[in-house]
Amino acid sequence: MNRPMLQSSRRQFLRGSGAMLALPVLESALPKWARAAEKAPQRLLFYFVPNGMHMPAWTPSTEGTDYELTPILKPLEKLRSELLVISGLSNLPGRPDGAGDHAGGTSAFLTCAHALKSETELRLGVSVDQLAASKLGQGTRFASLPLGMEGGASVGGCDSGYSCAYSQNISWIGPKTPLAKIAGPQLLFDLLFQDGAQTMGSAEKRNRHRQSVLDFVLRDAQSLRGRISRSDRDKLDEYMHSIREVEQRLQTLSTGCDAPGPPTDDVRIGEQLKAMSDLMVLALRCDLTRVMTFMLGNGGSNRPYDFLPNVKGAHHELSHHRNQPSIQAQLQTIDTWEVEQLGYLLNLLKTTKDRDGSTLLDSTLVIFASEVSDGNSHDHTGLPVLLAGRLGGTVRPGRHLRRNEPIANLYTSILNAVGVPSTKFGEDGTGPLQGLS
Amino acid sequence: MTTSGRSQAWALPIVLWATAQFVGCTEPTAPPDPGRVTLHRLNRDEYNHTVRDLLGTSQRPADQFPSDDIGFGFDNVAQVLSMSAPHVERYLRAAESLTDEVLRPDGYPLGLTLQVGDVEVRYRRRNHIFFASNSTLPLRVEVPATGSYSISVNAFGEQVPPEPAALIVAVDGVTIRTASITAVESNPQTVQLELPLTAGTHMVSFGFGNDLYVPDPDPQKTLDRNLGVFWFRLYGPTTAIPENSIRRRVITCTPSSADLTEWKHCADHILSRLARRAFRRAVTIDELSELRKLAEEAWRSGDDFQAGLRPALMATLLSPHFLFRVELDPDPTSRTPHQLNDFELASRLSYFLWSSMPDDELLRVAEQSSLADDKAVLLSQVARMLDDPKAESLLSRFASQWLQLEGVDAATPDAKRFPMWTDKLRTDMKQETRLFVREFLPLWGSRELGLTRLLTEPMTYLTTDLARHYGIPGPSPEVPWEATKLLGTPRHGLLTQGSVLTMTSYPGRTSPVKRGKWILEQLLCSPPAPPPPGVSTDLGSMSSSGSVRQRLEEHRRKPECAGCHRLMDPLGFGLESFDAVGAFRQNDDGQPIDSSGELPSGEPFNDSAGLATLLAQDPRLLSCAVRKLFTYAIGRAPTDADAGRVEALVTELSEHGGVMRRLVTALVLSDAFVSRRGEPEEGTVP
Repeated sequence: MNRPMLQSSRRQFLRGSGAMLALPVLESALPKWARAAEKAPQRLLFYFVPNGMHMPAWTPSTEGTDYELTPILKPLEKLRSELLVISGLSNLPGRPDGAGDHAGGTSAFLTCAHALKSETELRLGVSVDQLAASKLGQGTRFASLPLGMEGGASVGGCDSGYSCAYSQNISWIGPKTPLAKIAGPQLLFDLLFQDGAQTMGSAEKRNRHRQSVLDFVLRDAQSLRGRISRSDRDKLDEYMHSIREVEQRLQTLSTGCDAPGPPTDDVRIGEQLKAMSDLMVLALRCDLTRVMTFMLGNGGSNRPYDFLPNVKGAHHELSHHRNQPSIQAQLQTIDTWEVEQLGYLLNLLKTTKDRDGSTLLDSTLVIFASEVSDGNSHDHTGLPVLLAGRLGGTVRPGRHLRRNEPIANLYTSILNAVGVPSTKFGEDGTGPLQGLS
Repeated sequence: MTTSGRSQAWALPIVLWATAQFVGCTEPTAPPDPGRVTLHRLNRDEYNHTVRDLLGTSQRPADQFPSDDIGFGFDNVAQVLSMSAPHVERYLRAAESLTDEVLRPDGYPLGLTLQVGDVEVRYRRRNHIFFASNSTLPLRVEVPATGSYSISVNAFGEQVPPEPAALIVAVDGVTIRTASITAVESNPQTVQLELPLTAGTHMVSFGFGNDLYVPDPDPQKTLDRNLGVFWFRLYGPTTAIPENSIRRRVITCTPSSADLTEWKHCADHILSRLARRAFRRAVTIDELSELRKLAEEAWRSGDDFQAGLRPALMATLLSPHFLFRVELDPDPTSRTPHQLNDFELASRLSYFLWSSMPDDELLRVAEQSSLADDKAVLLSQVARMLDDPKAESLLSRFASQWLQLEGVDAATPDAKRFPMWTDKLRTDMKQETRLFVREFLPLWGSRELGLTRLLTEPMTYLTTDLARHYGIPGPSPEVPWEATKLLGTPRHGLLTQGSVLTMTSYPGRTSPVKRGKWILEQLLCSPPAPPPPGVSTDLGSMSSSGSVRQRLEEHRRKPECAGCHRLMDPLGFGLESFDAVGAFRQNDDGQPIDSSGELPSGEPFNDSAGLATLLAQDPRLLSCAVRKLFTYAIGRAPTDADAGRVEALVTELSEHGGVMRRLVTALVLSDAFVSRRGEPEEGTVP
């Protein structure tokens, strides 16, 4: 059968590049841009771990390129040249009013803003991932993906008079609106790939219906908007904004990644996390999104870690170690485990090739950090911050830097690197952080 | 409802109003501020319950929604329920999936056909699905029931001898059939197979498995094996052909001809019924005709009658009037209170008592405008609704969040220290507490005990296993969950139940602090201040030996700790006779248990029973229950302006021995429940 030229050339390209695809790739899983002669896009992943780090076992003792990997960072040895450790950064807006350091630190994590202490009224700031998404997110199926491992069904109030929203979300689309996160691999799988699997009706018809329905409810909301008062309008505006966004995204053609098999139903956290990492890398590779946030646990999470050797207890409890070596050792085990999980994801990024032979890690920047540094004293200075990747050549890894300045400045630099103008970020930013590249 | 009950009910709002006047308001002439509830998004439970009652579906779409944020310990506080694009993504898919279910014809519950128009562009060629290389198309299938299903595929190969093209069919990643397709495009063949599927989600995929491509400068000599599929069909279970009761419930008429007027008329009938229930109010002519226009548009593009209803059904399920509980203020900028209209009040009632939409009866009463004006009607509806099984949400949602019963699920007792701990025990403990707490709620068949007995009632519900764990005589295995008397045992009331004791312990030991904190926060609404930064909360670090109590006593001598621990610890000490999984004990780490103590007020107690008796008399127990139920019922926490109102409710509750039905009734009649107000624009002076 005679085939149009386009098809056969694409086919040849796939054959040519097939050997480089290290994942068990579904051949048709290459994104749209991979077929056109485009440069690989920049991508950001903000990776949150709760309760700080055992800092003595985290911070390298020397600066520069010859820094020595500390015990917690040891699992990343093979990725050393891709890492940029930055010590000394602070997030002072995360200091709470009175108690509530985890809520304060978590809410300020990507906003560098001071949360209004309230169980009902949310007031914070816009997070850096959302500003980045305003640029990087144009034209992908999802402007950004807010992800995590723990849902919101936490019991009771979350942290000393702060609404749970503050410690369960790091991505804030507006000062009053957290971007609700997708918790766990099953939900993420459904979101990313369920759409490719129809149950009834044709894809074209479905899209046509979606468009007309969304138009309809938007008109409906508009007419309601004129009849309600201020705070009701705020809620309705969230709705209308979300409808518009989804409507716009639906017009973005699917870039076409085949669905992988459904994620594992092994409920152990390690297995779930691996499945999540697989999907996150797939979402980047398929260009479904270019901006992600990920919470390994909610702020101040008290996940039990008794599946790790010699760890007896749960994370938040242990983080109040009161300088007891036996507890600090357990914390260090947890911290090292977290870094191992990060290592799994970084390895995937590093072994997944973009079309030009570079790796996903070359185009991506992973920002790994926590809401506090030491969990015992709830310190919001000297935060553990680890970057990995090159963000399309704008970041030069393989170093340990010391910078005693707000983490907001790091965000300013990242925003600038992805083409978002920013001179000062958050409430305490003073300007870009020098020396990233 | 008896006559005397009715007359009391009449009198009550006046009492409440007068009290609020006296306590809360600076301007004696102004009516009391009823407060306002922000536009209230349905939370996940409410969404699931609402579509269940609206359509009769057993789908629970909201299980896939982003989790709801929590305020004041409840997941239905309007102000913190936000919405973002991930929500709308899920709403959209839920609307599609629900509409699918409504429109599915009688016959096989699962019947799907895939043709060229249904797949992504790169798989399309002319009139068929085309595989140019080895790949498969996955379909995520919700299998409605376990049974035998049938798959048929109409396919052909672009052949390169000697092997015919290979069609692969796989389920959940496992190939179940590789079929040789010897046919060519002009005469395709149908492959058919039967396979067993269990109910639930499966990935069914089909595709091409033996690609061959040897290019040659002469296109005629190029070897290229490919696979084409005209259609793929999956249906079943082949053993049953039930009718779609959901369709019958929603699609209430069928046009007998192709006459457009008749179609419109019939669509109006269907859509007005559905929208009225979905929006929980009367629907205007304009709203109806807008909805119908969606169907007309689809008909014009070639859909048949029912298929054309699809966008209109979806729009109903995505409308702000469905996803939010809309309450309108006549003047949105005025602080002058006004009564809710009948429909708004009906929704408040049903989401309070049922966590779901009003039923037909309640909507009918609202339509007759008698709900807001006639207290007797309102109260008879409350009584009727409490007798409905849907009122169990007061247990599963309100009480379970109030007492944090889900906390038992998160408990992780140390297996070495507590080898007797099993998941069965965990489940039993949860169920014990559920059955026990139910006796305090105004639900059908409940004994409706007064809350003052919550901590002292010498009765509980046990299984054989749980009774053995507690070390007390229990029911025989044939009759689990028998009410069991506790007189003569060390147990009594909620505080000595395994659930509470376990979830307020550490994995390896008890925590009098956590237990005390739980009592203070959940039962007395008097949360202690959190520990100052840098302070240890770990007992292992203090002295190496001694009972938990001894180590805590040492802790408490520190002045920076004493302030709060003086409040928390004694409460926990009273429960020290029960270990970290709720078993009775007489020793801790070799030391005899001392469960005596003294409340901050100076009242001494000897053991848990003494503690419970003192707590049962603490006025904060009832006022806390009032604050919790207020928050849950209205979707906002009481503020200073509600002080008088809360006080009147506490009085009502305590005058009636803490019986919750009195509180529910009084709350429903209070002006915070039945009225609201607007609010000035930002920056303007009220």
